[in-house]
Amino acid sequence: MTGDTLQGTTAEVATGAPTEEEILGTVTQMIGEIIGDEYVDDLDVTMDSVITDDLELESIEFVALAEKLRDRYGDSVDFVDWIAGMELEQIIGLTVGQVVGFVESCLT
Amino acid sequence: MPDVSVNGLRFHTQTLGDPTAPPVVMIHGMVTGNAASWYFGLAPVVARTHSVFVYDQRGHGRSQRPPTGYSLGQLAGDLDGLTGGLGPAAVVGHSFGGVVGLRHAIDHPDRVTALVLVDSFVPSGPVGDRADRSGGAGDVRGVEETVAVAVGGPDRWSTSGSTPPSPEDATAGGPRRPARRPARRRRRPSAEEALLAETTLLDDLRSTTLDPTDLASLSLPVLCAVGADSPFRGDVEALVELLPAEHTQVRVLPGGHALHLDSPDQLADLVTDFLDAATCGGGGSGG
Repeated sequence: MTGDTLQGTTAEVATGAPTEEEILGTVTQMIGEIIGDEYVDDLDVTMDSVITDDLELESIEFVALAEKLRDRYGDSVDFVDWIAGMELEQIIGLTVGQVVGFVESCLT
Repeated sequence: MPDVSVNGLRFHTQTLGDPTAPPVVMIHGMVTGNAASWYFGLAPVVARTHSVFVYDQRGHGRSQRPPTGYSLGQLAGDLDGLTGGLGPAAVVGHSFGGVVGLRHAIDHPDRVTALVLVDSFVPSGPVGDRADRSGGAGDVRGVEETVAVAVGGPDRWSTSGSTPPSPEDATAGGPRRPARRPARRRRRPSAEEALLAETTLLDDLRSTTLDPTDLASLSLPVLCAVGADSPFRGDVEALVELLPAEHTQVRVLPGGHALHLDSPDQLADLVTDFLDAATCGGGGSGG
């Protein structure tokens, strides 16, 4: 919860928006918090990781991810609306990189 | 994280939309349903004109999972406790979530303004009559089939469930379904597995009954959305038959039991038109 934003906050102050790498770090930490400590060691989160498959997030855990993204980045990152507009197969194939790219596009 | 304590349990809840708009409560189906069933689909659409409240029923999603206590009365008691502060609200329920809504409307007619049932039925028969009649082999069909379909299907977001897809699931989604990767063992146990293995949910659902007299006495507008290819279509229509025809609209949509996944756009249009008319002064049940 704490300590995750120190680097990002500094960068945001300097540039106005976090970098892709910083967003990846934040999303990775969020997914780790959702999945839980006992499983987080098994995680190898990359931009190519498929969220439902490689990371085994269940549908309800996307709700938690949406909440964390909103709390961290504000209402401009409308993850719910973004997901709601997708076909089911798009959601199932969603990668961490796509989420990072979405967040980045909302903040720039 | 908006968790709420009701009836001695912790519930995960979410709200969408303008809190001053007419309230709508959305209840997911059992076992593989959860708040996400609505949260990323129908809820944000309805929230354009309503204040939407969704929650994980006991044992589901991120709500607490007690080992016992999954009777219809207890599930409706959770709904009652969670929505007590909302004022009169419309209720939307998928599958058994709709039955929970029916029970709530019967118990508290002043609290429910309109009801949407999405492929809802009573697992043990139209009003629990199969279970009452025999207690034998015939009465288990509903619950077991429900679970067979549900476990293989919606949480369709998961590609790696440890339970093989049922035959219904293999065909239910048609061209929308992606090719599955070969199922592999999950590192983490799924919420559905835990619910089925650690609780009395199935036994409790099997004993569900509704009183036909109570159903016939309902006087609120009801919309029943039925899946054209739902394996439970006969059971859904048997329940519909017991509702007062003058207040009940029935619409058949393309898709199976999980209409919110199979026909999301059609269901959204249908439900928003109905709710706008029923709760926003646009005409109501009389037409």
